[in-house]
Amino acid sequence: MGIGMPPLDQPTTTGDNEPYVFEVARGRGWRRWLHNPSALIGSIIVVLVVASALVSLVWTPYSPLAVDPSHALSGPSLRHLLGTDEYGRDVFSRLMASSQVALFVGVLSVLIATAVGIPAGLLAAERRGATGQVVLRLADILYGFPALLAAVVLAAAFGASKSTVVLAIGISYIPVFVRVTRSNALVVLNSEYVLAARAYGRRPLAIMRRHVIPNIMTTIIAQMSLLFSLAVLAETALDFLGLGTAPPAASWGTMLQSSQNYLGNDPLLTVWPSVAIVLCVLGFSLFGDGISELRDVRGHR
Amino acid sequence: MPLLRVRDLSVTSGSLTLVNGVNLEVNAGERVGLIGESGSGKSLTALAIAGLLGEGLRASGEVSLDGEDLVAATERRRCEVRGSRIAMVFQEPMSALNPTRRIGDQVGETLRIHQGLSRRSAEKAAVDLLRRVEFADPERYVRMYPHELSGGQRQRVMIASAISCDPEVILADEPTTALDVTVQRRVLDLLDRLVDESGCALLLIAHDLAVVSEVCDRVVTMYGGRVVESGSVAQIIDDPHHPYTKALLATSKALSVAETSLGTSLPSIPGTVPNAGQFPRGCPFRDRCDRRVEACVEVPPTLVRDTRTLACWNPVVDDEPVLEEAP
Amino acid sequence: MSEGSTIFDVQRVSKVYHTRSRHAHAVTALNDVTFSVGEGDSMAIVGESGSGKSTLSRLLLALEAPTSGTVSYRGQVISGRDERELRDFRRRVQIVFQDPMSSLDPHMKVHDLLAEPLRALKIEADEGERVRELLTSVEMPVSSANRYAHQFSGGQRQRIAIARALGPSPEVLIADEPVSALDVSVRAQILNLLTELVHDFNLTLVFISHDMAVVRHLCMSIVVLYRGNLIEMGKTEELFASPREDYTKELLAAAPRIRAVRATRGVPGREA
Repeated sequence: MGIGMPPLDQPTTTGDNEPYVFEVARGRGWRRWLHNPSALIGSIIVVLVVASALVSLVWTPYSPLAVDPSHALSGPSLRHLLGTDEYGRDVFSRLMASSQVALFVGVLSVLIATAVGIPAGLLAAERRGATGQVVLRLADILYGFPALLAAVVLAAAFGASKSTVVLAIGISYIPVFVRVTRSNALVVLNSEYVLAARAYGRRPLAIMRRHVIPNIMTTIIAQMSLLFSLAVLAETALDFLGLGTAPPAASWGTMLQSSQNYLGNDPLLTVWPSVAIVLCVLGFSLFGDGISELRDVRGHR
Repeated sequence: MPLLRVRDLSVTSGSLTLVNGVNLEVNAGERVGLIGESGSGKSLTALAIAGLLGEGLRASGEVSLDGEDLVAATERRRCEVRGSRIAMVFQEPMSALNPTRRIGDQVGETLRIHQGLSRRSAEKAAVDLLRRVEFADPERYVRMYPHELSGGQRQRVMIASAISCDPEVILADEPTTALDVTVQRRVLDLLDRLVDESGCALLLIAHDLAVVSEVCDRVVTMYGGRVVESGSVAQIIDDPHHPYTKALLATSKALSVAETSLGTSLPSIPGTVPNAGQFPRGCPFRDRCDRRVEACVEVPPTLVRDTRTLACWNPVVDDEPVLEEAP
Repeated sequence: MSEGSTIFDVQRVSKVYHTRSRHAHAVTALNDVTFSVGEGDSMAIVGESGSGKSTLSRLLLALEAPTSGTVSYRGQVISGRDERELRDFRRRVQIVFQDPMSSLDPHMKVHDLLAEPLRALKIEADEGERVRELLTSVEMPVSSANRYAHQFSGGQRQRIAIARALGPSPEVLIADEPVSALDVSVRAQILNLLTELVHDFNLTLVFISHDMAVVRHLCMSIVVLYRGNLIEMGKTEELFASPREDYTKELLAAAPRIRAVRATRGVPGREA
């Protein structure tokens, strides 16, 4: 007896033998997507970031590394849309090239974290005995080892690069996915529909694939988009500290780092990478929320 | 003048009318049962009376307690009334209790809010209240948390909290539906005794006619957000006039312990209760009714005689004259 | 009690759960329970919360193993068996739960909900055709297949859950309080449906409930559980006519009755 609306209902007709077509109403999903302003804005930003990363692989207005001392620190103009930096490099081209780094680090570190974290979380949920406890304790140990420290250690061992940043961030996010996956999977595993599935002979792996994963995906995707944003931020921070992308290669972190010397003369140099970071982080968060809402079948009546 | 008077109460959500022109009166010391299936609007009616409608829901009409209109009152005034003069008992005691706070704390809370009792004296009062709702060892239970109690015990805790300020009206929304039979019996007896002792009014919302017939003096039947029939328990049980009441009664009777037998087909109302907003125009019950006539496309007027009301174009009557039209 | 051969044989079954509660380290859910269910029987397992009836249903489904004693199905011990050996059993014994919302996966359409048991049990059939058949047998429109469970009312969801259970053509249906979450008139519809299905498909029914009226309507024999103990069993009408145990009497007396005049009550209370 709910306080809100009663469930959708249609009168039962007996022996109704009309044929039905089994299909998924994709169109409706897209329309819902367009009607959800935050999802729409999020996806536009994501498309922009991805597009600029892809385009910058083959074309940028200027080479992001091309030095032109005669035009150093020139403000925005028609020749250089966002101006040039202290070496006369085109800021717009460098911003574009930097989105490659952000995407590379964001996508790969989330991939590493999920590829290890989700299966480990599912295992911990399914085997609640000793195996599960071991998995959880391992996750706790990893959790106690901060990303920054991991990055320093990796940079010291293998030299600072994008790859060490990806490894450091990816590994440090594994425990988050273990925890989130496990606690959500436990709820599903304790449900009556899983009991029903066991009663008609579904084995644990099939139950994971057919019931647990679809029902926890909403939460997982939200978590992925959050961690993607955090990864982009962490990458920027590591670059800023000189533990990641090495100059002269372009990244939002290195751009911020070098611009701080010219904060007085040319504050816009600091503004551009900052705006890019904020937009990217915001865009992916909105995008993730949008996917979560769209997947939540019960949310929409 | 009845203690609780509901006149033309409607609840709307946007363009949907979920409760439509409900009239209801409860006198002090009286027990009134509100029956109907899920989706009939009976819970919403209770929430509207208590001023507890959720977001997006709007009440209109009149709910007067002792002459004071609560619909028109400020939210601040309604807060003063709620808990102290009108108390509510819900179906799910587990979700109505805060899992992180001790029983004594929660039972005494209403007293702290409405009568400004200190924490200490509220806890002492809680012990007495738990004793009134038949806890054998109340000093022990005030220290416990909700999850340490059984379903029936939790519901008695809810009742203790409801009666803490000696309310004039208790609204009980399916208070025993989630309970086992023997526990249900105990909770019903308890409610009954408390009404006897305090002389307060009870509005009992239930889908089980048997429960209502055991506890109440009068019955109000709702369907499609409207009151379709009301009368004393004897009138409704012995001689229901509305086809919906009659069908509900037939089903409940066939499914009561004394009457049922193996394998017989149970009478049931064809179809299902439609969604809000999808009830037919006119009489909301007409598409499921076996007595529908042409007039049913219009909303039937509510006829009143003595203590009975009826809204039906083709009522079930033996040889009695049909009720007179309301003045 | 049975006409044909024995379907379930429950011999001296006990089940103890270990908990981390601060009150008790072990809870005895079932204590030395013995009974059997014959082919074509409709057997009620009656009891209230904490009586062990839900534990018993899991033991009958071989989803859990008893701490001691044995549960056999057609002469074969089923508890503690490997799933591979239980495939035939899984096909023949199906369950319907109390709350049709939580027993239907919210992310599956009705078509998949009904097809899942067929896929899991590798039953050769035209999926679409079988789903249509199942929906028709529970009096639901076949167009329901395209929708999600949450788009239906409680009674309709329970019909879907029943259709799913019928999918593998079982011979035993275990129903765990299938109507206690439903309104009276919907309850009557579902009970009528169950009665028809049990008759039409020749099902053996194990019906778990605390509602004596529903049990009397549906079952030929009754087992009464109280705090994990089997305290009384017998044919339904005999048990209703002359209950031996106090608890059974109380269960019968406690059920509310329709009366035109409010009775003064006073059934001896008991700690809830």
